[in-house]
Amino acid sequence: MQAGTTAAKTLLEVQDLRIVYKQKTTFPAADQTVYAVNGVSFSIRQGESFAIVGRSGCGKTSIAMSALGFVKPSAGAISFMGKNIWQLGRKNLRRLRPLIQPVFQDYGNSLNPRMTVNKIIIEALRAQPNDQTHTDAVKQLLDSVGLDSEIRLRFPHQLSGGQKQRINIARALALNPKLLILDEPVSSQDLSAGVQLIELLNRLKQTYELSYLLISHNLSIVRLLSDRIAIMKNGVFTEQGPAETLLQHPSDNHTKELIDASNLTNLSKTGQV
Amino acid sequence: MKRIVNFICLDKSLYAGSILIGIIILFSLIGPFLSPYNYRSQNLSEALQSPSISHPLGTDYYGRDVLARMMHGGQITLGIALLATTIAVLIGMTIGLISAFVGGWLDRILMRLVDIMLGFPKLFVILLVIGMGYSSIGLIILFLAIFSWMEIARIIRSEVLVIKEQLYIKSAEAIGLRRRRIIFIHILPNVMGTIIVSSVLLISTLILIESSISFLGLGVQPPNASWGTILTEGRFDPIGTWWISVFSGIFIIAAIIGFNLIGDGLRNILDPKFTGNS
Repeated sequence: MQAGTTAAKTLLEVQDLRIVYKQKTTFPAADQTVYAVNGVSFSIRQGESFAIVGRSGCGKTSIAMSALGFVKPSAGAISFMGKNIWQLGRKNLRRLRPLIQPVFQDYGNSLNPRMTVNKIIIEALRAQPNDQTHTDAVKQLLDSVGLDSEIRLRFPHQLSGGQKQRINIARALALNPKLLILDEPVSSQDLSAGVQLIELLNRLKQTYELSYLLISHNLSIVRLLSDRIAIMKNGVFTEQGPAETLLQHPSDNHTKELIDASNLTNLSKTGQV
Repeated sequence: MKRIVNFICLDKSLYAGSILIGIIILFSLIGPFLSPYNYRSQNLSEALQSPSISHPLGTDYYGRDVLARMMHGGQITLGIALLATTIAVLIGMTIGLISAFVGGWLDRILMRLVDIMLGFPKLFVILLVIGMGYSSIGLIILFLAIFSWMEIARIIRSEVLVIKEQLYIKSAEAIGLRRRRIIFIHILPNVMGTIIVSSVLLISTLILIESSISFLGLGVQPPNASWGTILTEGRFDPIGTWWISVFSGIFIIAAIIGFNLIGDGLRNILDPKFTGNS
């Protein structure tokens, strides 16, 4: 019975995930194989923030793309609300997709350059039954991410980086998702804009009862947003645990290096170096 | 109408090209109603007259008014080029989209078909068809369209291959949109600029090909006239009857320059980051 309750609360469950990229050449014997993810397991419960931290190329974005249904795992399973997303048909996967929304690292490229902000958000709203008129819903969503409703008539190239990021979040919220996958959410922003965005994400998490899968290389950002952290290196988790415990008592050398690196980054950003 | 004029004024090339093509289209469509001469009516007593007030572009070997023939020839040349382009773009767009979006073996088969068609001896085929006695304007349109869609298909395929990997398409998929909506609402508008520019440039290419075919006597057959057939009528005495070939040549060049200018202008304007006059 207890197990059943726990299963109901588990939103995303990743079991022994392996993602292998094959680079085909003319001669099959010379094909190159890259093990991007090599046996990773974790779960995210409802209302929880789980962060995967690691250096560039360690495989964290591959996990996110696989959880979104874009990169097929070579082995292992990814279940969302008890359903293995890679065993669902195309139709069922399409129905499930609104519940897992991405906010990509390259937020500029995530917005259709030929659509106004209004159209971009309405595209998402169309997928949801809604009592409000679309314009009202767009205004409300823009307000919830701290943007003026006038911005809805602009095209993406007329927006700043921070505004584009918030439009991406607003579009994701339009679908009433359960899980947001945030890929390096503040990596291209200055410190104050980054802090504001983290405050916004923490507020939205409470308001919309969201769970986050946060992907970052920066522990100083992650510690402000996540409940649990996994450290990743060369396609495997080297350490995993509650955020405070892991940051205060790291057992793995790689974790210690990342903590030192994030401390240095913080000091340099605040001008203390 | 005001919106169209405002759009055309956004770019100098588009503006110049539109005026040039506008004049040629008006000349070809409205001109025949204003001209006192029919493009077919012969008057051997007025044969080979140089340009004068009564015949501003002179007359040909049969005493037909060259200006009236140029107006009629414009309808035929532009009509053939526009219709053949429309068919070629529809075929090319469909094959390019399917090839890029479906991928796999279908992509490989379609791209090999493109290679085969590109390597096909076009002149040999039309020579064969005309030699068998089948010659009509409809056939020329079909011939031009069948041998012109490949470049469009390749351009569309390569554009769609890039666009379908963009994160805004991934975002559209993540929203849960249907494939059809992603293709028609998210991908197609983003390749429309390329399609329009390629189409306009194809029109000028087809004007040139049609003129060349007609010049060789394989295209539009008498008594109909295209600019290419008029051009060839002056070949017997290019110095003595210069007006026949020179004026048709000028019209062919003007139309090609006009469509190329429109193509360049549209390329600038249809870039989503276009901000002002070039």
